[in-house]
Amino acid sequence: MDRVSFEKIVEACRLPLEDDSEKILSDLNEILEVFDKIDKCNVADEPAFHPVGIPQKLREDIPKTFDNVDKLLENTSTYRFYVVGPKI
Amino acid sequence: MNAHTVMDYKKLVSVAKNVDEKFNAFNAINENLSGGRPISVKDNICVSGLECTASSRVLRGYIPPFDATVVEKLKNKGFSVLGKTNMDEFGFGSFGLNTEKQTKNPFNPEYCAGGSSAGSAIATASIKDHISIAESTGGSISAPAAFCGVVGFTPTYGTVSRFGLIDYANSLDKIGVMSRTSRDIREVFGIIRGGDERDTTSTDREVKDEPKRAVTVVDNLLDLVDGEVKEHFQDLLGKLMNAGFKVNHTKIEGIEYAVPVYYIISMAEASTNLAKYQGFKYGKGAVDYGTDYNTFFKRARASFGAEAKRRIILGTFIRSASVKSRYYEKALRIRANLIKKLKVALKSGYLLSPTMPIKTPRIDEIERLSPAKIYAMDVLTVLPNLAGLPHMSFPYAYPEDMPIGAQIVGDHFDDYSVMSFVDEWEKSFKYKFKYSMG
Repeated sequence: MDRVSFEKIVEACRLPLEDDSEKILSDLNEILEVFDKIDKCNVADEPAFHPVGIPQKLREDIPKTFDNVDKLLENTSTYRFYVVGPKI
Repeated sequence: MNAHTVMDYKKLVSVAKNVDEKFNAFNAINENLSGGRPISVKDNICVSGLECTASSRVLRGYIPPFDATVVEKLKNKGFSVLGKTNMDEFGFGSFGLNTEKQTKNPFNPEYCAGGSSAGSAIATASIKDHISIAESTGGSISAPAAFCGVVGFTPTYGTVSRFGLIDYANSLDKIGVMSRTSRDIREVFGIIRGGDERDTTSTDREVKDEPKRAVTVVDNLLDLVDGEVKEHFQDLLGKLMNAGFKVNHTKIEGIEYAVPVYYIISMAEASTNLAKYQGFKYGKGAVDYGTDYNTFFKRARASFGAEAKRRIILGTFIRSASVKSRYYEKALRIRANLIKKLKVALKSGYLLSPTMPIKTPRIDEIERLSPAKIYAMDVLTVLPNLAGLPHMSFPYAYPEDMPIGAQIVGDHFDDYSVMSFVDEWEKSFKYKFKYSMG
């Protein structure tokens, strides 16, 4: 990973790295060398998104009322019954 | 298991505090424990009213108003939660060191406890008759179980609901159990398993108990193991043969890809899961709402530890359009191929290997290693985890007074058969616990 790609991704992830970015980039490139080993492997299998074939279950799309909304909101800063967030 | 009297609960809380003081086992202890059979729960599994942080500063202050399905099921059967156990942040680690309170091994505090379910293993090794609910993505139950000398069970993917688990990598995460005996694990697994409409990947499929009399050793996996560990493992094979087990040997082509494949898939999934931590939905972050959108998020996400940052960046990179097919999609294809090969090998019996390729390392030894070298230590545990196969780590020797573990692996939904193997092992082998209170 070159520095330009690295900085682009760090920005997209909104991660402040401060002084340790050189060390992180060097660690990441060492890890990518390990990942690059899979270039040598040739397989034609279908991708395994899950390890076990479990049939997908879908729920009915029906609105539900939750009785613990107040409790959930205790984990956030609120104004009336709105969650407070940053300015857009 | 002991029945606890009213007085015992106070004593137990004090024991948990003592264990925490010595080995950093807990993130939260339930001071109000007053009834039920005590159990501890890894800190990435929600327990109503107890702070749940997954050892991350990003989640500090988050108090779930609900129980994870496993916790709900256990409470319905008379269990009560003693505390939330310490872990590597979000499960990102194999040694219990990627947390603000670095964990220590109860056999010797200068040594690693293993990770990421470090606190669960320490609590089980240090508190008599203790059972802990842990979680594994790539070896987070087996590794600490081996280093702390307890039994650690990771079930078939999907047999236990993940509802209420703070996701690391959805296609790999499995909630399991640690204890001092296979018998206790069987009991608890019987309670927590089963489908759940709140987790669409969970299943009610029948779980078999068909003990086998043969184990298969994957020789090219064993080649990656440290010499001394290998010698002890050969002794274990000898004991099993004397007990009437047939020992087969095989080679599996492509196992050298297991570590990169595991880390590619898990980082890709983790980077999407961690995108939701932005500072205002989970726990009240100390952030300034007056700043602009990007500054707000950056400040909140500064709380991630170094390993979490590495995995977010790399996971985002390997999902990017220009390299997705080279890394992520290829890894998924290799995973499918490895699963097929493992299932063929499992036709001859269980797979057996040491749990970790090295003896329990000192904390300072691990701190000197680069992340890539640390990831390589997962070589024996990532295979059954990638494949979602049930497996169990159990202690089998104590060289220089430190435990080492072996890992028995069964086919999908053969969970009880895996436990039956360890049941039999426990009839002829007595586990040791150096620091055992309660």
